[in-house]
Amino acid sequence: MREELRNKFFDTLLRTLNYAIEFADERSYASLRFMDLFQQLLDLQKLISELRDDKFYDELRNKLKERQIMVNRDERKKLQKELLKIFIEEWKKRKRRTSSFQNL
Amino acid sequence: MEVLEAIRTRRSIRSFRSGEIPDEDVVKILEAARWAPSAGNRQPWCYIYVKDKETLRMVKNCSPGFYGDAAAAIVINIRREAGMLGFLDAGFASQNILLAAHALGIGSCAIASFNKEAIREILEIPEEWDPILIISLGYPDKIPPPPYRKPLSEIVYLNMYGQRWEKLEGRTEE
Repeated sequence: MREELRNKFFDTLLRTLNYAIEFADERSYASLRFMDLFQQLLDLQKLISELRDDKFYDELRNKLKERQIMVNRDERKKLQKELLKIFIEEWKKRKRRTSSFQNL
Repeated sequence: MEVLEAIRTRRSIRSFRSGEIPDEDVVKILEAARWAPSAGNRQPWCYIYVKDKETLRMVKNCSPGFYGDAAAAIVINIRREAGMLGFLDAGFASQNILLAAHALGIGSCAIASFNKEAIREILEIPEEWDPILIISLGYPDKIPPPPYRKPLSEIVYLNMYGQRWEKLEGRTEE
């Protein structure tokens, strides 16, 4: 159950980020709106007891600190790329962990 | 299934029921892709069949256009230098994949909305290849009704642009 919640939360957050990236080059607020949702979901993580101790989300929060995502589109795009990279690294890490556990 | 029937009855499936696709069927689908026409017989394509659940989950996360719990996916890549003809070749191959899957009772959907760089990173695709299309595969849960298609009289001209072909006027859909 905990693992399922962990995966679902990770997936939802990452999908939200990818929606934001999808609209990054459009002249609309869509990308910004999705980044806002992304931040709100990230705040939610701290309130979910099963996820509270997951350090991965702190890493994302640290990336978001003091970034001008509200006013600067280029900065926002750069940040989105950096966040995506962190997600993929984390997924690779988790996958390695799972497969080495299965090989025991 | 007869080819014309397959063309007419294929739908983009975005809702799947659970069930793994036998490898033998996927091989048949990929064979159909292999036999697609290719300009100058260059065959500038390669296919990544994703059936590992964790990898598929991540591919889906990075593809906003990917709907439904598909059992698997095929990522179509073309050589970077292949240009427009490469895209055409991949289009021919994609249609073969969609039709072959349908003929085998497998639903599919072509997905162009995905984060290319993320997919490259997840599937470790080298720089000389570009992922250009993802095709989801699975057993259809809901089959959508036929979508509207413009009548032939609206999209076909005879001998020169703008000249109507009377044979097509007032023709009802078959």
